[in-house]
Amino acid sequence: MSEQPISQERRDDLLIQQAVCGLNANEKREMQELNRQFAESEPSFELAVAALDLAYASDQASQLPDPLRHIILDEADQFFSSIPTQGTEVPPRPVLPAKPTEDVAPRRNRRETWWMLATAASLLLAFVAWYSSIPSPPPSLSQKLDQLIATPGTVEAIWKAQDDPAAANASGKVVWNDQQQRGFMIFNGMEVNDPNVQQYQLWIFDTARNDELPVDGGVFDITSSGEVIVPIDAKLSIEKAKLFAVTVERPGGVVRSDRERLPLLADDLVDTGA
Amino acid sequence: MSFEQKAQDSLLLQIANGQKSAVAECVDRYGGLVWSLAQRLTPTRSDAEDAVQEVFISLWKSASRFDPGKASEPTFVAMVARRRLIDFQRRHKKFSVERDVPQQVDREPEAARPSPSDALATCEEAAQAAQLLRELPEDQSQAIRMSVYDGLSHSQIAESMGLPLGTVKTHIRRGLGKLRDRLSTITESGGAR
Repeated sequence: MSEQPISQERRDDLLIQQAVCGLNANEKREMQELNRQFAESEPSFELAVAALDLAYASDQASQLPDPLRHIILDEADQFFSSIPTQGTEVPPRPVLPAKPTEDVAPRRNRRETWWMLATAASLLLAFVAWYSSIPSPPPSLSQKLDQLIATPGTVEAIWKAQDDPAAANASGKVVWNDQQQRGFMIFNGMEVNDPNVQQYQLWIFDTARNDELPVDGGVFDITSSGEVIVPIDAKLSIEKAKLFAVTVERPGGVVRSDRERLPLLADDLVDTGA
Repeated sequence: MSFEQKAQDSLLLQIANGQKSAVAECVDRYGGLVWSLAQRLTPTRSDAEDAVQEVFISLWKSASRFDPGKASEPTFVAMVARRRLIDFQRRHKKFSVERDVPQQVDREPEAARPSPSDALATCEEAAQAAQLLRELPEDQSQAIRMSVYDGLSHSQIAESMGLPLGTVKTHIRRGLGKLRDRLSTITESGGAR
């Protein structure tokens, strides 16, 4: 068929463009259509373009500016330290022995019974000593949340969904304590994000600060459409919180948000009554 | 170098295995490469700084996906970096037109850090690419440089070189096709390092 070589050239052109500068939606569709016409998939040009980039860089002796290097290392610290904090579950405690059932065996003589009781008592004492020596597991996020709600001075506010698809089915609340500088966000039905593409970021508006410069409350991911509890990680001290906002940002978050996507707000802060 | 040795030497695999001490070395080894790419592919210095941060976050996330059998580590880093930079450009709807960053990149006064070019110069794929650019006919080589290094569209290259658009596309297709074939031979023979 005479169109075959033209289609093949076009596919190569698109593969090259994909490797060099990416494809737009129409070009992606065209590529999919062309791929369907060929039995074999064509290898990508990404490796070739990467090799050219390497050749260029090895000629340049380029070095990362020192301030930027420090920022990247700080961000790496934050990134790696955030990994183990996800989803802390309480490990199960050892199961206590079941309540002894009533002795239905024939009566034994007094001495035998006394020895049995003494042995059982010492075993019980040994068990209690062992059990109490086990360190308590760290409280789960929901236990920490309950503790904070029960702490005087804690306030909470219901999330108000804004006009953003990420919050179409979202509900939940934010809990914060100015004295303790601690808080949690609770989400239900919030859109799960792909951390390679975008992440959520919390902003805390403080009565003592300019509204143009809210405090970064931390970057986080929504990993489930069910209930998700996220601790607040305020980067600066908050004197008196008055509003919380969640934005959608690039992976790793931003220093200052353009607020282009703002799915949730919480501003009617009320005392938890603790 | 054996596959096992390459895997053992890989900073990304060390990072994926939780060795945080490899992070700084990785930033020093590949920071220059990523910075060089970001400066070329983003319009302003501020964008380049933001983009470099995104690239490294992406590298930490994809470290475990590095396969020494498919490409060398510098090549993998370059691929991840360009992908992320393309995403960055598209999100910010800014393509390489005018830059406020000088083409002569920053030279840091401190000499303690290892030169990234030393690490990259030993990369077989980079050597093959440089060699091929020297071997190709001038028009082909020039068209590839303008496309890959300067980020110009095929139409801009055609206009700049005074060639028909179709000819420019053919030059780039043939040149990159040769390089792709050459690199696949290296990868198949396990020579990427």
